[in-house]
Amino acid sequence: MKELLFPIGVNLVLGVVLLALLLWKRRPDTVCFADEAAALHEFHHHFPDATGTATLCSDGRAALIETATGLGLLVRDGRRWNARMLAAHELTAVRLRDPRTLELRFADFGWPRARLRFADQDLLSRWRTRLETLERSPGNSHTDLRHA
Amino acid sequence: MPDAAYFHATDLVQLGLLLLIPLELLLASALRVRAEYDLRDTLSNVAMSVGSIFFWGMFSGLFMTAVWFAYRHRILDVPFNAWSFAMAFVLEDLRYYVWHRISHRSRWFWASHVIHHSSQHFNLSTNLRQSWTSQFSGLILMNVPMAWIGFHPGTVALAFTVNLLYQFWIHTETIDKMPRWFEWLLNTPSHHRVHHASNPRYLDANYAGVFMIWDRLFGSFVPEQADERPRYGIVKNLGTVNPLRIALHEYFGIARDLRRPGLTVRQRLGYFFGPPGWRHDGQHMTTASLRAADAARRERSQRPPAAAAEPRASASAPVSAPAPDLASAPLG
Repeated sequence: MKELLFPIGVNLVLGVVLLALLLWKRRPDTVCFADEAAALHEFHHHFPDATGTATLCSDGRAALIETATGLGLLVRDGRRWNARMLAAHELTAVRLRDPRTLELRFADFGWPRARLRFADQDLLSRWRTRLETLERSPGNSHTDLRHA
Repeated sequence: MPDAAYFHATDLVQLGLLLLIPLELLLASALRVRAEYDLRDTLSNVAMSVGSIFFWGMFSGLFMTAVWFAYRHRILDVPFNAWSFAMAFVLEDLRYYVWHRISHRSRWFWASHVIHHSSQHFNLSTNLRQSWTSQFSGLILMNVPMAWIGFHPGTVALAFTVNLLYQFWIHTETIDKMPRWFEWLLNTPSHHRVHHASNPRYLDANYAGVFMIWDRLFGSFVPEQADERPRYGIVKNLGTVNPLRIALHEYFGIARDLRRPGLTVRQRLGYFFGPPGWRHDGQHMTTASLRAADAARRERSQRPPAAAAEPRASASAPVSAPAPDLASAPLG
């Protein structure tokens, strides 16, 4: 056990050092979508054959993509972006986390939730209705078009 | 057997290498080198490292017992000297190549190794993102044959450690290319960027630990292309930095697939030992199918405009039409 404590201790010290450096050298948070075209461009990297139009969240950190074959989602992951198609059988809950934030929950151990912020209340309620309808749709299967 | 001083030396080298992580971060923040660090990603790498050390320490005895058993029944007595260590190092590197290739090609083993590939960022701290379950997958027993041949377990452990230490510096975007002879013979940051990329043309390539010769011999070498920057991560990236979810997500995926109703035994085995992305209904997302689709897409895009079936991507219009074979597939 003693042999374990030293490398674990070294890693913990390294973690604290890196945390301090990352906070000290923190750059302005510029990783967000400037416009719908940027979101579509990013989505195309993940799903090259999908067609769609984008709706940006108000913080620019997420976007919903309406494709010819279903709804897609883009969410920021650090300085990168994660994308997925929203399949009914994976969408387990749509909740209002606060008056401006929708929270989606997925039956996916590796990606359990996503949050979407909308400054526009009308837009939020339209998407909430749309997503709740998708969540409730029975046996709606989805084919992953990624790289297809 | 190698003297304890060798292991103390590797410990010191390891400590020195760890210091390169904050150095790279500082240089990157001063825009002196190309490297992207993200707070949550980097901290999750450290958490994965701590967990990996803990589980390795708790359960590596099982593996060492097997190695010692094989050594007691060895067929040769290989003394420890420079030549035998060189031979052990080359054999260990070949073992690493085979282990690595299996780890990418079979889902049960991928479930353990995927952790190292699950970040979308690529920098020296990616070294820390290690599996918690490597002792349980069974591939750890691949170290046994060297002991059975007659290499002392200490020699095997030293060769293993030196091999891993070499691989530290190749997890970086800071270094572009090494001299040509070096790129031909040895693993480099450029080769390893390809290995960590999820672009279809880069998938499942460059498995080497130290000597690139294994990839060249066995047909898995893919060079980094100037016109296609690697996109790091996995085909279905994670949406979490929770270490427990990172460590176990693929096992949950296997369990979910095995629970599908109506599967035959062969299909269940396919989900367990088949290549990652294999599906019983034929809608595979394996490396082979992703590469084939990518090649078809490239071919379509290179056709003259009149012959091309799909419009070009644009900001205001659909980005492209669905692939013909999937256009009528059921979608959610």
